[in-house]
Amino acid sequence: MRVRIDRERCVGAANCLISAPTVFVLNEDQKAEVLNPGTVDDDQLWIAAELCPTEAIVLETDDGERLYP
Amino acid sequence: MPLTLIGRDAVRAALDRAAHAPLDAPLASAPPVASVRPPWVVVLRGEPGIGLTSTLRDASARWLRVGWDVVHLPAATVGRALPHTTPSEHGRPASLEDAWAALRAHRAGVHQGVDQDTDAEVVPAGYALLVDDAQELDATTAESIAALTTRPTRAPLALLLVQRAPGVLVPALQRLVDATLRVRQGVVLDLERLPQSDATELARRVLDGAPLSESVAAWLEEQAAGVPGFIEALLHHARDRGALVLDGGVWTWFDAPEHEQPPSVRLMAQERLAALSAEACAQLGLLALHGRRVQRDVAVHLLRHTIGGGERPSAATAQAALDDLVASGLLLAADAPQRTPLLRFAHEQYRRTLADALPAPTRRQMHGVIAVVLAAQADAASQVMRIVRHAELGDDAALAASWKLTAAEQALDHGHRDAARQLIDDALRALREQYHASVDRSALDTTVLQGHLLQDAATQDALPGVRRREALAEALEHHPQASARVRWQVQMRLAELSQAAGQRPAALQHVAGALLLSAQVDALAERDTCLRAAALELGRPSGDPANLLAPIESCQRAERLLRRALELTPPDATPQRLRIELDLAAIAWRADDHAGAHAALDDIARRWRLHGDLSGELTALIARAYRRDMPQRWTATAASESNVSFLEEIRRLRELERRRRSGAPPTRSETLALLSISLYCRTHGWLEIARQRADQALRWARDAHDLRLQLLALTAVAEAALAAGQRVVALEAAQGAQALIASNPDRVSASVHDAADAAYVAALLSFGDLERALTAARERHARAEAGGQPVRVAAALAQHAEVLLRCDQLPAAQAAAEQILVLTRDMQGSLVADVQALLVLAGVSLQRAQWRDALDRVMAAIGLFEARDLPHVQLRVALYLTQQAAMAHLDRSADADASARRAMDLIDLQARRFEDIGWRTEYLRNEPHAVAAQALAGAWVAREDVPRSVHAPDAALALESAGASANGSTDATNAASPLTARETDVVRLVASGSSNRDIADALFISEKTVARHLTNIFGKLAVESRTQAAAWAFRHGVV
Repeated sequence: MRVRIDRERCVGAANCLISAPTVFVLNEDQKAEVLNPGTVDDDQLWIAAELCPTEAIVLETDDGERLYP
Repeated sequence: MPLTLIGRDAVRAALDRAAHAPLDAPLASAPPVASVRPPWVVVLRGEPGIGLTSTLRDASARWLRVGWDVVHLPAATVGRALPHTTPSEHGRPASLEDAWAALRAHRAGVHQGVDQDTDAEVVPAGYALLVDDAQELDATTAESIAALTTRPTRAPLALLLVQRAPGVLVPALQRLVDATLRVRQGVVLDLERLPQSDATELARRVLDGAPLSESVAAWLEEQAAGVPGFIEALLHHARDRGALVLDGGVWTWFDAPEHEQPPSVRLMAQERLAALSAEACAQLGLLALHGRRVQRDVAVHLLRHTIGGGERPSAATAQAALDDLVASGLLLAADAPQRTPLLRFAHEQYRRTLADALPAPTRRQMHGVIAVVLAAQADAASQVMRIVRHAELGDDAALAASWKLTAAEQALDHGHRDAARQLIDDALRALREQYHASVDRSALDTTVLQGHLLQDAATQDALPGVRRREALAEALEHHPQASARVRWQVQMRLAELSQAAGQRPAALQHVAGALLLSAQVDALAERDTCLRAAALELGRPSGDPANLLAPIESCQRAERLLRRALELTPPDATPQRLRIELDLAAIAWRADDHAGAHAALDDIARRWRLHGDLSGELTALIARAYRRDMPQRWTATAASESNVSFLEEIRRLRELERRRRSGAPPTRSETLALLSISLYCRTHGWLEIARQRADQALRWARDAHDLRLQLLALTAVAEAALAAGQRVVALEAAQGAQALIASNPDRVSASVHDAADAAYVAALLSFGDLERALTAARERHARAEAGGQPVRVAAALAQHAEVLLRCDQLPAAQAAAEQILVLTRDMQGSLVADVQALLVLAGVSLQRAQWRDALDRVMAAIGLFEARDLPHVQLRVALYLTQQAAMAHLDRSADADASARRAMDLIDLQARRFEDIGWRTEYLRNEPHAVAAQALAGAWVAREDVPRSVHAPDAALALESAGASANGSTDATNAASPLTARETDVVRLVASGSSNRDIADALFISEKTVARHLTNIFGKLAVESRTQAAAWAFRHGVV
């Protein structure tokens, strides 16, 4: 599974930093970035994606098929 | 002239038969050749002799018997032998008219004897003209014959010509045709209306290879354009000659399918075709090109003949044929995809024959012409390589190169990068050679630059950006006469490359160059350039709702560019306009025009809504939320002033969007949305809303009977309740989650299980149930270890360490905390677990009175925390409280006060955000950090050495809650201050007589913020002026 941030959606609410702190980081303009997705399992990524208030975390299969949102 | 020619042999045979038939057989109803109607022209070749003469005589006799007029020319020759025809006493008539007149008179005399009542002209049943020597058929006679055919009666005419010497027949026929054409010239000149019969006559002449008079030749030339009647006649005559067969609508050699035709038969048919004149073949060949259905090898054969029957035609012939083809459009017509394969094939053969036949210079010219004409076709793009080939064969290197580039572009589009590179290299090499020889270089410059642009695209993976940039820049410099468009494209590419290489000044320079050129290109180009330049100035692509970090001057330049781009965008291009406006709003925000930015974003959201674009509206709202949150995240006390309201609005839109897509109310996604808002609110200190949204989510989750959602919601309720100091609710929720897990052990994922466990341990800890907390923490830790995911192990271990610390098991707590730091050492980015571990280590040090060590640990933790800008407000408070303790023990009272102040500000903020007074009180009384902060504040108020300016704002809150938590009694005087720390600062400065500007400068905030603080202060204190506020400050000891 792949994870990426839809920058246009991200408002820097930082929920992802709570849900999966090794995976996400806020950059200098307060938008989330993906740091190290391999450190957590898929379920944790799912929780992070589901708990993003603006659905800015996009989950995809390795083939690029969208899983969430 | 309605003359029908029948085969000589057939006529002879027919006449032979007729000669031996009984004399009384009705000839008119049994013509010599069954399929041919009179009138006939019968040509008898050879020396005069018995056979011929007797044949003529017999024919005359038979015609006379059925009422025909029969004239002999010259009368002297045959007439003597045929007493019943032309009156022999007249000798040779002066003209045929005379002969006819004599005949009429003679017949009238005969008839008068039979039927005296009739004086009307007696019309013969037919006319027969027997010409003993074809030479006798002079122009006058021919005209007379032709005149017969214009008579209304249209009686049949038979013409028997005897060819006494070679070469006399053709001129005779020529005269006949010419006369016919003269007589009927009005018709002849109108080619389209040429009667079938006349077309037939001409076809016959052509088939026989007769030399043509000028007028006929001219007429035939026009036939090349294809007069249907003539073409049909040609084909039918070819058939009559046995050269072609019409089989099921297809003209073929022989009436059998192609594959069944024996070679010998085909050979024979080919010979027959070959016997046709070259001109006939040419006509038939063109016919094939016109798309008639002609069998493949017939067509090829015919086509070969059109330019010389396989022999090498003269250059002039070939050139003429080429000109004809180009002029008539036939050269290219067959390339059209809708043409039949046969036609394309025939065409190809034709061209090949032509090409072989032409001398080299003409051949080159032909290819050049073909290339140019092909290139001008609408579908040129689909036959690029053909154009290239023709251009190369035609020695037009520039054209070939330019089309090679087009081919390269297509290859690139299809991912054939190597092929593209090869084509581009070839093209550029050819162009270089051309360049030195060329005088007019502007067209070449354009092509060369296009080539370089393509080369750049083709080598983007193979060459480093620096090399590509150098190559392009050099090309641009060396080809200054290229078109504005291509120079513009190159500048844009250079800007892109420079930007990618991080060379912003160079990128800006190139964009400036592009901007100058773009005005010469078109509005679209200028708009694109403006947007590119603005993006470069802003340091990010257009339409990004994030905050701008670019310097204000760059933003101002970008603003001018964007406004220009907006001018160049059509008024009805709403999405494009709104995206530009989004950038303009970001610039307004960057320039501190927050009200302007908000108004713009609201307007953009509204117009997206009008446009019916939910996702556009969502983007605008997100931009708005994003703009609002950062400065107010830690100051706003009303939800409506915070991002919470925007997140709720975003949630509403999300659901709207989803419903529009799926049509059904999606409980699951809404539950998740509620949970996300709950999490946001909890970590950002909106504890009441966090609890409410979690409760709501739990209800939705239960309604949906979704185990995972229920567990997530129960955990959220527990966490929110814990943060709000609602221990009972927290424990109930956490136990509820545990029970659900216990009854569904196999259906719960590790992440969800772990989160529930964490909430459970925390809830137990809040009740001081250390024993069970320790057990639960240990179990959580063990489960995490079993899962093998280091991040989760670290988190579990952090909580375990915290419980151990609370249990005073200092060595174990320390060991666990240190283990976390080891575990996370190689993880990229720091973790909440690291912060927690450091906090535990600081706690252990505090217990051991190792103050310095405690301070180091906590400072490290704060460093990590702030580096990540974690929003976790509870953890932040804990850090400040620990920092305060360490500082206090180290006798750094000022620093300790500052830490305490930070912690108390955050507690104060969270407390004020409760709307429910009961919940607020519960928070202040029960939440451990809140209690600790208030205890600090209480101690502080008691201290005499603390300057009032430091402790005063928080004293009220501290006393209020300290008193409340002690025995419920509160000090009415001090508890009355409802102001936040910042507001107190503002009030104090107001009391000292400062203006809004002075206050703004002193507090490093904007004047607008000062005004807003004042509005809030007036509201809270129920005062109406600065003076009254100052009076309140003095009364309450704030100053």
